[in-house]
Amino acid sequence: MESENRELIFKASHMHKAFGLTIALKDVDFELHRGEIRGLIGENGSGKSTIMSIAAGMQTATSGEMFYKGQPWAPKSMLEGQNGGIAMILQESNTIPGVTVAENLFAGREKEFAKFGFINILKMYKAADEILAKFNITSFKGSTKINTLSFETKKLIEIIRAMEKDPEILVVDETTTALSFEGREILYGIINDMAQNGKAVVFISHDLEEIMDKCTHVTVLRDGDIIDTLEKKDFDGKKISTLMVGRDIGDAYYREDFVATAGEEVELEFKNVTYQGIQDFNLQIHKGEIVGIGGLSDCGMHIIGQLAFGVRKPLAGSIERNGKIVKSPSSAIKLGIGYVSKNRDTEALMLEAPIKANILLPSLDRISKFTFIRPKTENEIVEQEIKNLSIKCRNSGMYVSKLSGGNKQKVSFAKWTAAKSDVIIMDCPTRGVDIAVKQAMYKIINDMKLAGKAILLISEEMTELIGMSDRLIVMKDFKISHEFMRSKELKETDIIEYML
Amino acid sequence: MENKEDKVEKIEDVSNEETASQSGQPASIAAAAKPNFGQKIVSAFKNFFTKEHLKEFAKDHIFDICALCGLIVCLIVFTIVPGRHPRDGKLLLWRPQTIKTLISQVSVYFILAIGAVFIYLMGCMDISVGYQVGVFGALFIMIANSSNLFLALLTIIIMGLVCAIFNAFVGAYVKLPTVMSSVILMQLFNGVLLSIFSDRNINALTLNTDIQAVVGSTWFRVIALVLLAFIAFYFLTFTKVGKRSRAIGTNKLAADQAGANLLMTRIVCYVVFSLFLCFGAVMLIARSNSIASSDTTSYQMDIMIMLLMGGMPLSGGMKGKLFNAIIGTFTYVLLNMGLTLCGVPAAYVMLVKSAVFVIIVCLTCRKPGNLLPR
Repeated sequence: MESENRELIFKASHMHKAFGLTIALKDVDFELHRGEIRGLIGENGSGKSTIMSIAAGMQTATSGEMFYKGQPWAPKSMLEGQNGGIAMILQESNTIPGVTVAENLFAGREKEFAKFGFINILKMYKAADEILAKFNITSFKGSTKINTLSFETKKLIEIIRAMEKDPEILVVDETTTALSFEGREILYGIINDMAQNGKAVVFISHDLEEIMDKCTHVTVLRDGDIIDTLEKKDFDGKKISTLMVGRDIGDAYYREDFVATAGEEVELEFKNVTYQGIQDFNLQIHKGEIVGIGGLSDCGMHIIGQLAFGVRKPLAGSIERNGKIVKSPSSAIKLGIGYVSKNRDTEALMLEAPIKANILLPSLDRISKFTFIRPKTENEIVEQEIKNLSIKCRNSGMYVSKLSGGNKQKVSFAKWTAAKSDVIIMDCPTRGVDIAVKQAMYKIINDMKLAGKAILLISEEMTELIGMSDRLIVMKDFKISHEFMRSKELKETDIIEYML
Repeated sequence: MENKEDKVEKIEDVSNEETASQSGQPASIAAAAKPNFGQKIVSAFKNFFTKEHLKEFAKDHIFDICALCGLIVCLIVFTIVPGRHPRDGKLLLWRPQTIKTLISQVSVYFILAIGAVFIYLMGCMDISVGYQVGVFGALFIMIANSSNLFLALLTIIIMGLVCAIFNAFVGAYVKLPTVMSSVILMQLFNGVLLSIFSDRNINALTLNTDIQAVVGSTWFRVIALVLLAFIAFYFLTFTKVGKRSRAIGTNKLAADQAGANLLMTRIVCYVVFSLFLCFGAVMLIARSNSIASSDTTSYQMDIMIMLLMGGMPLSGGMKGKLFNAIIGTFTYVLLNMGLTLCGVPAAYVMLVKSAVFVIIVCLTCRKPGNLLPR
C-alpha cells in the first residue's frame, strides 16, 4: 500500500511565519503524500497549527512557497482552500448559531435548494438527514436547531460539513479532545477511509497515544522548527515526547503516590442538590483532597461543576462551604472557591484583554483597600503568577488572544492561585494542552493538594482521573454510578464499565 | 562622551531584552534589575522607542492615535481656514471670545462624556441622555425658583439614581440590551419635557437665583472639569469599578465567573453616569441662567459621536479609556465651532458631522464585534 500510494500531494518549502516579534515557523520544509495519516505533534506554540492553517488559507506565510498536486498553491481564504480541496477542522467552535443543522451543513450552498429565489427548506432537511445517515448519526436530524446541541455535537457537524466538500487533504486540528466518545469513533472512521482512498489526512494533536495509534507517520515540531518525521514502525512514545519537549521529561507525570489522602475538614458540600436530571446529589470534598468526576460528556458532571461555583442555581438543596451557601459566582469567590471553566475562550478568559487584567479580576476584592488598588501590588501578584506557572509571554500587558492554548489555560489557573482560593473546581483543565504543559499542570494541581486545597477535578480523560484523584466518582445519566478510591490497580476498563 | 555611554547602554538594553524574551521572562523584570532609577527611565524610554515596540504600540493604540490625529488636523484646519478677524487681525479661532465660548460648550459636553465612559466601557449605550439632562435642568430651575438650590440639586440627583437603577435592573433581570431601557427612558422624559414646555407655551425656563456669575465663570468651569476628570480617572484606573466595567465589556460571561457581579457593577456605573448628567445639567443652566426646550435634544447622538471620535470602541472593553472622552469632546466641539467660524450654515454643519460619523463607523467596524454593543 505504501509504495503505490506515495505520490506527493502537498509540499511547502522554506515556509516562514512571523507575528511581529514572535516567530511561529522558522523556514520549514514539509511534504505530505497520498495515503498518509500524518500526525503533527509538538508543544503549544510549536507551530503545528500554523503550518496547516497556512496551507488551508486561514493565514498567509511571511515567506516561502507551497505546492499542491504539483502546482503552486497560495490560497487567500479558507473558502479558496476548501474549494481547492484542503479542508481544516479548527480547534475553536465554528458553527453558525441560531439556525438548524441543515443550514449549517449547507452554508454557502443554499443555491442548490433554491427555486426562483426561495429556498426549499424541506428539501434541505432531507438532504441533511441523508448525509447524517451516511455517518450513522441518529441522535439529531437536519431540522434540529444547532443551539440545542452540545459543544461536542457541534464539532461533529463541522467535521461532516468539511467532508461534504470531498477534500483531498483533511486537517484535523485538536478536534478529538472536543468530541464525545461516539464522535471520535466517527472521526477515526472518516480518517481511515480517506487514507485508504489515496487522500491525505493531517492530524494535529497533543495526545501522543492517540497519534501513535491512528497515524501512519508523525512529524514532531518544536519552537517553529520541524525536528523529525517518523514512520509507524519507528513510533516510540518516550522518544517522541523527548523530541517534542527537547529534554527527557522523565517518568513523573501524574502523582507518584498511590495512597488516597484527605484532611478531616469538609471544604465543600453538596446537600441533596436537585437540578434538571440530577436528583438528590450529595458529595463532600475535604481539605487536601482531589475528587475526580468522570463519565460521558453529557452525564451531568459538567453541571455539577457549574452548580458548585454558583453559575447554575440548584432547584432544591444547596451547596455549602463552612455553613455558608454558594449563591452566585461572586459569593463563591468570596467563600474562596475558584472555577476553571471547560469553555476556556468564552467563559474562563477575556481574550481581548491583557494577561494582567485576566489574572487579577477575581482578586480585586482582596487587594482593594478603600476603593484603591495599588498598581505595585497588582504587578507583584501578576509577575509572581507568571513566574510560578511559567506563562510564556512578552510581558503582562500582552493580550491573552495572542497566547497559545496551553498558556491561555495557565492564565485561567493563575486567576485562582492569585485569588488564593481554597476550593478549586476544574472542568477539563487539560483540554487541548500538550504533554509538557500537562505535566506542569498536574504538578500545580498536586502542589495545590499538598498545600491543603480541596480540588474537584472533572474530566473526560480517564487516565488523568486515575492518575490524579484521591477519590474517583463515575457518573452515568446524572447519577453517581460508582466511587473508586485511589489505588495502583485501578484501570481505565474498570471505569468505563460504570460509564456506559 | 555621553554619546558613547548611550550607545553602550543601548546595546545592553537590546541584549537584555533578547535574553528576557528568550527565557520567557517579561522585559520589565530585566529592566527592574537595574538599581539606578534614572537609568531605569532612560532604558524604558529606549525600549519603547525601538522599531518593533513602536509598531506594536501603534497597532494596539490605533484608534487613539487616529483620534489624536483628528484633533490635531481640526486644530490646524480651523486655525488657518477661517482666517483673521477683520478688526483686530487676530486668528478667529484663537480670539479670547472664541475660546471662552469653546470652554463653555466643552464643559457641558465633557461632563456628559466622562459619565458616559463608565457605561460605554461595559458595552452599554444610553440614548436618553439629552432628554434626561433636559428634564433634570428644567426641574432644577422649577424647584430652585420655588424653594432653594440645594433641594433642587438633591431632587435631580435622586431622580438620576432612580434612572440608574432602572437601567441596571432592566439589563440584568429582563435580559434586554441596556439600550432598550434607555429607549423607554427617552420616551418618558420626552413626554415630561413636552409637558413642561409646550403645555405652558414657553420655550425656556429662567432661574431666579443667579448662578451664572459663579458656576458660569470660565475659571470655575476649568477647575470643575479638571477635578471631575481626575475623579473619573481615579475610579476608572485604580478601582474595582473601572476594572470590572472593562471586564464586562470584554467578556460578560468570563467577568461574571470571575466575580464581577453584573448587576452591582452596572448599578455603580449607571449611578456615576447619572451623577455626571446632573452636574452636566447644572453646568448647562449656568451658561445663561436658563434652559430652553431645544438645548439638549441632540445630546445623545452628540455623546455617541464624541466618544467614537475619541477612539472609544462602542463595544466597550479594555481599549476604552477617559482619554477617548477628552479627545473626542475637544474634536467635536472644535469641529462644530470651526465650521461655524468658516461660515458654513447650520444645516451643513449637521451634514458634515454625520459624514464624519459614517466614516468613523466604517473605519472602526471592519472587525466584527468591534462596534455595536452585544
